Order: sequence, then structure tokens, then C-alpha cells
Amino acid sequence: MSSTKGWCLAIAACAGLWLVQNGSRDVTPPMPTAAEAFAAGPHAHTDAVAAPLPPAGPLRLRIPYIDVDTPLIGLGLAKDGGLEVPPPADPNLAGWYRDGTPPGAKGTAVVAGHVDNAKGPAVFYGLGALKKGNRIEVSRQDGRTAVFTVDAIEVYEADAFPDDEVYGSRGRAELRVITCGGGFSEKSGYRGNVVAFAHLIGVRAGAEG
Amino acid sequence: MRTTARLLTTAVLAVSTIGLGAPGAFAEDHASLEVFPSTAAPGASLTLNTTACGPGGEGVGDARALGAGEFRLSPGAHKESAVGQLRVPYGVQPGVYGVSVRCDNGKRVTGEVTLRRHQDESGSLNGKNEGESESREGGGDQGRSQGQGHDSGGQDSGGHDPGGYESGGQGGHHQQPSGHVQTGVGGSIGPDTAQVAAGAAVLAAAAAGGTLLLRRRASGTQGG
Repeated sequence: MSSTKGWCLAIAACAGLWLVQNGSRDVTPPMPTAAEAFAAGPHAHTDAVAAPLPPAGPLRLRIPYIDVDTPLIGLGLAKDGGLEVPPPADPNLAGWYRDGTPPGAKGTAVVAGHVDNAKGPAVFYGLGALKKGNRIEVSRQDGRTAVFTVDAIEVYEADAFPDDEVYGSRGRAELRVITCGGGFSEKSGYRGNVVAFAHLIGVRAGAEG
Repeated sequence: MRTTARLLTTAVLAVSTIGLGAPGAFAEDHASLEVFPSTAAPGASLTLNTTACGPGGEGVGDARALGAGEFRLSPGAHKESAVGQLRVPYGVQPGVYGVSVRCDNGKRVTGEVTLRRHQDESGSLNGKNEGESESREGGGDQGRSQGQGHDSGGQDSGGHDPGGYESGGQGGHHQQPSGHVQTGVGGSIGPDTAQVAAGAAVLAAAAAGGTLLLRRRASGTQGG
């Protein structure tokens, strides 16, 4: 009887120790698995392609799978040719490259947002957890909502960033959602970017859905 | 420290980029008229927005230079900016055109749009117009004017515009971004405090239980 109790206590003590030890390790933003990369082959649902929409600025971006629902602000280019980023203080704010393709139009639209700020997780913290076939929706100023499907999630090192693959046009309406990721060090910060590749598969008439 | 410096740089760059994008709008009053896309073809729909009208403000836009008349700007999704739309009529010559907005609060901002030839977008745009005669006429008109090569539209009938853009098959292309994006500082990285707390609670409970058990056992031996 008391030996059973003793075992229970020992197991509880071990579980407690494990929790403390495991919890003390640093938690980093989710990283995509190799199965979500282009190299792993296309997803079953990526065949559908919708005809591009006429250009109209975006209002909000939603990614239901990772609970993202964020307004989009316009972003320009920094002096070095890199994309500007939204002000980091607001954890729920992303931006789109306003001099490029608007989401839903023919070409490649680019959206960027922070994975975290100094205080904690930000809008695209969960981007690395996306899966092929997940939906991304962008409501637009013309009242339409452009619906995209995720083709792949890739991770790129900052010093080997494939500009054309990420920013280049593929002749249809595509979307890139970019945030930081790919390992972190205290000295140099995040090593690269997590990039979600998506293409237009449908259009809804209402801006809210 | 470094982030503050970065923020400042970004803000300064943002202002200068806006200035570059719309030379007609000056940064001095901190508000410009953004025209999107800034390079378009006849038939395209333009979206204009400005923060000059103030939060919730409205205004009247003047696009008569384009032959598009006047249009209304009303508060956009972000309440601080007013948004309006217009469609570039077919038959407008390539060139740079000014568009102005007078806000109900009295402020006036100007922006500009570069129009290029119609042909490289005609497919998709005509599709949208369901073959109206308007677009057919527009196309013919464009053809003639290119042949004559005259220059009526604006200050600069686009010596630089028609061919240079076009990487994406859609109007308004300047340049694609390059390189990675700085979108995180690591503030989300750290121990899982909830898990540590749970573990500590379990450990405390186990310790309490153990003490109780030992005590009982001790008293049991004494009693026996």
C-alpha cells in the first residue's frame, strides 16, 4: 500500500522535474518542416488557379489556421533596396509592398510582418507552423476578398536570400508572406526569413468573410 | 538603442520614399496624395489616398487633367486616411498627369500618375469591360496616337515609362525588393514560464506528499 504511494510520488517528482527542465529551455517560433518546402512536392489542392483581379489596394490579411487577422499598411523600399517593415511596436500589424503588385492582381504581392518584437510574439509568430493547402485571405479596397492557398513554406538564410524566387513574378496572381526565422542568436538576431508562398485560387465578393 | 536608431532610419526612409514616389506631393505638410498604381494604362482603376484630410475626413478629388472629372474621397479602413477611386478613361495619351485633392478641412494635396500605352494590358482590361465599344474605340485611338507620336498629355510624355516597367504583367512596377526582411528581435524567445510553474507545483505537491508519507510511516513504527 505505502509502496504504491511511494511509486506515485516518485513518478510525480520525475514529471515535475521534467516539466521544469523542459520549460526552462528557450521556446523559439515554430519552424516549418521539410514536408512544407517546395522540394517535398506539390500539395493535392494546389492545382486550382483563379484569374487575376484588377489591381486594388489591400485592407486586411487573414490566415485562419494560425489565427492571423491583421490590417495591412503600405511599405516602401529602404535605401539598400530591402523592403521596409511595419513599426514593431504594434504586435498585430503587417504591411505590403505598395509599389509592387497588390494582392490578387497578376504578379507577386509581398506582405511582411514581425515574428516578434521586444515584448513578445507578433503578428506572424506562427507563420512557420503553416501547412501547404492552408488558406490566406486578403480583403481589398474594391470590396473583393482574394483567397490564396499556401504552396510551400520555405526558410532562407539572410545572406543567401533568393530574390527572384521570392519577389519575382510567375505570371499569375501570387502572394508571399514573409517574417523572420531560421534560427536565432543573441548576437546577430534571427538568421533569415520564413517565407510562405501562395497563389490565388478564388475571389469572394464581400470584403468580410 | 539599436532598435530606436533603426526605427528612426526607417521613418526617415519612408518619408523620402513617399517623396520619390509622388514628386508632386511635398513632404513639408507631412501628407501626400498616394496614387496607386502610380503607372497605369487607360482603363485601369486608380486608388488614391491621403492623410491630409485628417481622421475621418473627406475630400473632393480633381482628375480633370485625365478626363476623369471629379471624385469623392471618404474615410478608408484606416480612419486616418481618405480614399477615393477613379477609372482612367480610354483614349488618354501616355504621359504624366497631375491629380489633386481638396479636403473638406481646406488642405490641398497633389499627386501624379504616369500613363502608358494601352496595348500590353489590353487583354485583361478588355475582358473586364465585356467587350464594350468604348474599349474598342480606346484601342484604336491609342494606335493612332502612337503612330503620330505626338506629345500632348503632360510635361513628359513618358520617355521613360512604357517599356521600362513590366516585370509582373501589371501596372505600377518600379522595382522589386531585394534581400531578406528584418522582422524580429527575438523578444518571443525565452523559457516557457507556464511549464516551469506547473513543474514546480507538481514537485512541491510530490514533496509534501512524501513528507506526509514518511511521517505516517514513522508514527506507524513508533505505534507498533
